[in-house]
Amino acid sequence: MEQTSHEVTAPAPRRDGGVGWQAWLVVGLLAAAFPLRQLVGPVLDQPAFQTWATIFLAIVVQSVPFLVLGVLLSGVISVLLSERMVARVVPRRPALAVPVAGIAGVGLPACECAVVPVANSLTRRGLPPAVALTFMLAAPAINPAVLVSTAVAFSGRVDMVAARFLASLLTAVVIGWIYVWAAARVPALRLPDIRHRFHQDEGSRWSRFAAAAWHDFLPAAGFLVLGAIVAAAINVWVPLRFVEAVADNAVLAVVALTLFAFVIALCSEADAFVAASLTAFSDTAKLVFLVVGPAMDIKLAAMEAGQFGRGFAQQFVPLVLLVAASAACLVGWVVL
Amino acid sequence: MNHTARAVVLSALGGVTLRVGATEEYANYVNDWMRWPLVASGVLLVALAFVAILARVGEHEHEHDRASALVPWLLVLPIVIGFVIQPPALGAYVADRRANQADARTYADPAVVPLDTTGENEMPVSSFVARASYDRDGLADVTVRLTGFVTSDGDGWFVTRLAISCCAADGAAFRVRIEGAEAPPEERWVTVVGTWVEGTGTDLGDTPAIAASEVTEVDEPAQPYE
Repeated sequence: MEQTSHEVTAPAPRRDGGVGWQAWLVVGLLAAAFPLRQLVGPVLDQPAFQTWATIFLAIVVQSVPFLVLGVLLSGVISVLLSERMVARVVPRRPALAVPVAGIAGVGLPACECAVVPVANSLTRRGLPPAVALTFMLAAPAINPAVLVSTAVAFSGRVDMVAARFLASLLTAVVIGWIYVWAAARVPALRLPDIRHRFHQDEGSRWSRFAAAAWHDFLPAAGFLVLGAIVAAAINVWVPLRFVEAVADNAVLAVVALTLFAFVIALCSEADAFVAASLTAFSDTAKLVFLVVGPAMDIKLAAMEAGQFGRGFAQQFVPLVLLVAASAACLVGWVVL
Repeated sequence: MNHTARAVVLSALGGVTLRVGATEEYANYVNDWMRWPLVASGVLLVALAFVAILARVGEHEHEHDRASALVPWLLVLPIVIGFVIQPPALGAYVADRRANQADARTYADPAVVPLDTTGENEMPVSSFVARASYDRDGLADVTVRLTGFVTSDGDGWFVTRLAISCCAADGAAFRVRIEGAEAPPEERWVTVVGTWVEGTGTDLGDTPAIAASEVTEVDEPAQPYE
């Protein structure tokens, strides 16, 4: 891997005229894939593999525009939003800023892939990490597009829509408060790792914008692919019936749907349709599925590990799963 | 991965996105409202790759650990699958596993439009499955026309269709048993005209049946999902 430090202004001289063996390797891989496809054709034509490939590509293709949107927004944030402005708009006390950020999630009508880079760029702009995390958890779950699709999937049941809104907002705010409270008191709790992160303030607006987008997109997309590989495999090889076997036991049902929401990694705008079809489960268990999914799933976990560091993700992922499932049970018990 | 290799990967991923959005292939993977966002984001990614090369944007960045150096290589996988394998629309493999598990009413048109009792009623397979459970009076003695692909379970055969709400990952399968007609070859697309066999498929998860008067083989439609 080529390593150039920030102090070096001119690119280091390269033997092969500036392209590098890695670029040729990528081109070679793509070119070799065509003849290889003929060679291993019979394996690739198996329905199980083709189904996996279709679902994998569908998840990636579905997520790319949202990721691009997220990266564009994060570019806009790095260019237009100064740290002073962030300080002025956001309440000074983080404990107060957390619920504000949760409600602000209503304003970003995108599913979860878009919001991770946005949260990252907000922390780079001086937003307290706990507040950015709250926004990241709330936005994909409580925006109008998701609430409308929930209403459609549940044939207009307002109680389900309200319960989803409340439980998701509760999850986001509780997680935010945990990080506000624990940041000073619990040294073992890792905060998002943004120290090494890219920060560029020189250059024109356009070059800063392009640099931020360039910096954000590839790592996020790479981790997204990692999540999509697993999610597509689960989708093909773990049928719904396996999960439904435990539907009668209230506790097991909640655990099963928490894990199912995590591994199947559906888009928050589509998960209500799958939840509605889980007819063997109680409404509370369905709500758990709807609240856990947008807050945490395997592709988000991979993306967050990439953006905020692995140490942070190892704590954040189980914590969000636990809080989201508990919040959904509580709200489901009261509302549904 | 170095700067140039990243630019190659980025433009290839943009190329896959652009092609899926610009051709009929999008219908195999995502819903049609995703089409223009796909084209736009494909163009933007290719443009970003060119800007990065020409204006040398981000050339001096360094990876801070091994994992994030390796992760961009993963993007070669969707590029190869998108360009070389081009997986087809979901079909019988998924349908056999998920047939009529989902509640058809959430996929079908929720408004109960009265059916035409004199002519043929063309409708999605999911609508038929939904109506068999909630619009029994309206469906009785009405001629319907369904299009889907052929699956079978040993006893008989079905006309089957998948429905998606966002992308192929959330696909649900719906099928209708066909009575009174020879089974065409599996996975062939057919149009079936017939009437509902009263009392079939009235409970959620059950499969309704049609007494077929006419079965025609057709080409795979441009929109494989409902």
